[in-house]
Amino acid sequence: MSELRCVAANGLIHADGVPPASLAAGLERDPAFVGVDAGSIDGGPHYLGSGENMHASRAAAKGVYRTLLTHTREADVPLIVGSAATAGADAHVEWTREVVREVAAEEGIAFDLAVIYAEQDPDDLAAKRRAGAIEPLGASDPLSEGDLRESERVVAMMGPEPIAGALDGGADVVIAGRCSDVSIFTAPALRAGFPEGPATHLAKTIECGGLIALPRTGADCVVGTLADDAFRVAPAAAGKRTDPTTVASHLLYETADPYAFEEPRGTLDTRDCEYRAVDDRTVEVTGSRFHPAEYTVKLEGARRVGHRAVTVAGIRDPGALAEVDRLVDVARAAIDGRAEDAGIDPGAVRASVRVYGRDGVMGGREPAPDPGHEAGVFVEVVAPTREGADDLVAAARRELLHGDFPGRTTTAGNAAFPLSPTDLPAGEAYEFSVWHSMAVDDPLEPFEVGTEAVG
Amino acid sequence: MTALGELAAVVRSKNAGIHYVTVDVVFEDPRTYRRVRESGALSAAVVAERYGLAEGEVRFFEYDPGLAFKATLPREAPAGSPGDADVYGAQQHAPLLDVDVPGVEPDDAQADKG
Repeated sequence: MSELRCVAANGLIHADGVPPASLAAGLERDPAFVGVDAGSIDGGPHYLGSGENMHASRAAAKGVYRTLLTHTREADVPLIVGSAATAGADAHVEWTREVVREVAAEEGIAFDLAVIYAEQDPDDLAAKRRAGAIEPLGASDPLSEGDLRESERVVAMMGPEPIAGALDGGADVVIAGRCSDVSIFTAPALRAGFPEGPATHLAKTIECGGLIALPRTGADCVVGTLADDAFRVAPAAAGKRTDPTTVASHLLYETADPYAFEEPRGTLDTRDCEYRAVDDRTVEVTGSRFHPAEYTVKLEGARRVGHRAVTVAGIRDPGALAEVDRLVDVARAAIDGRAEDAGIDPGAVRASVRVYGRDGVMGGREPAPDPGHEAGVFVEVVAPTREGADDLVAAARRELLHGDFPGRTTTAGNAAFPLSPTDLPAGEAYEFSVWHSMAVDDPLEPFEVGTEAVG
Repeated sequence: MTALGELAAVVRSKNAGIHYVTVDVVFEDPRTYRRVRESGALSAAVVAERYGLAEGEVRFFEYDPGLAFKATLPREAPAGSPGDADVYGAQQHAPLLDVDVPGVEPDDAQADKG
């Protein structure tokens, strides 16, 4: 029976490291490739909107790429990085490409690099929209032309085909833009002709690397072995173990449905799967099925909604706490009033005032909105200009400090402000503008591949 | 009566895409999981009631291979939009912690673990 072995490193989202010993242990198993997911939409729309990334620092990210590149090149094993630098737009791919080139130059290593761009041209998408090829995902509204024009960036989430194409072209290192986590690991498997059910399920299981390893301390790599009708997973590091429940449980992580996973090529169905311990480090999974469907890519876009300013304050006075809703109301009213005076379009202002210690986290869904002896008030204002946002948050802060309420004794100040200055500009604010799926005839069509010899 | 939070090994929430949060209730031992499942204490209707949602808004799963229940709920605002208080959706599970589970004691769970 043929087998395909791979090593999955921990997600590279924060660049908090790939343990060299764990990666080396994985490479000793002679894998066909090493895969790592460098992206996530989980941090919100900022990264796609701004072109920035969630890595702790460029130096930290460079350190991780140094580990990955030196080890995989030494072992002559292809490295596949998906969803470069968090959001996988062109700016993120280019940023990662520069880091990789720098590491190669410093380490004196040479390789064939393929980069795959996932950012989309708004005109192309507008044409697709008019042709009826774009559908809302989940609770999204139907896509408008305006959504596309207002977006800072829109990316398409590639399936395995562009990555497989890069490997066909002889790439030693693939830096892919926005990419389904699964595609990083299914591309080599489908290229080698393995059935899609086990290949996809294995990919889904190891996309976060050592999250399936026990004990859950530190980052780790995992080794996945694909056979024709089953797959096995085991932690790379000798001291770690895993078990069937842990492996099965990974399908709960950040997913809506643990039995069905929609991918560009169709749906993974795990309803009839069995998870069996081979030994205390290895789990075998059988019964994974894949139902092919019309080929679609997910589209993600973010638009700028203005500038954000915030302030935070604590309330300890029992009288002020008892009337905190009134303080919140006067703060909100002050924002509205100041916007009107300053000629700021109220429709372009988004303000929220939250009371932590009561219902700051869950708002209207809080089952126990009972204040304690103190509470925190957080004010967020988004307005079209930075000056406007600063102005409106200042208006709210003045009312929190000096606003009146029945029985007020705190005439020198209702709230404790921990910062000087009390208010903080918080940069540009974004929201998701596109969260849709697009039917495509050719899985390669939305993506551009660049190749180069590095070093 | 025992609170679900006393019986489960993990109760957590996280985004499932930008429009939904998903709550996982995971058990360590199969016996406690099965007893909670058979008690009917957790269901789409119970989750909906806890969050003030319509039952049809809640996708509820019993996930035997992971000894877990999962409920996926609509977010009040898309993740990370202005006004969203929980960009990761990581603190939306608390309403399930004190769901009463009739006839299962935490001591049973401890005994099972041993």
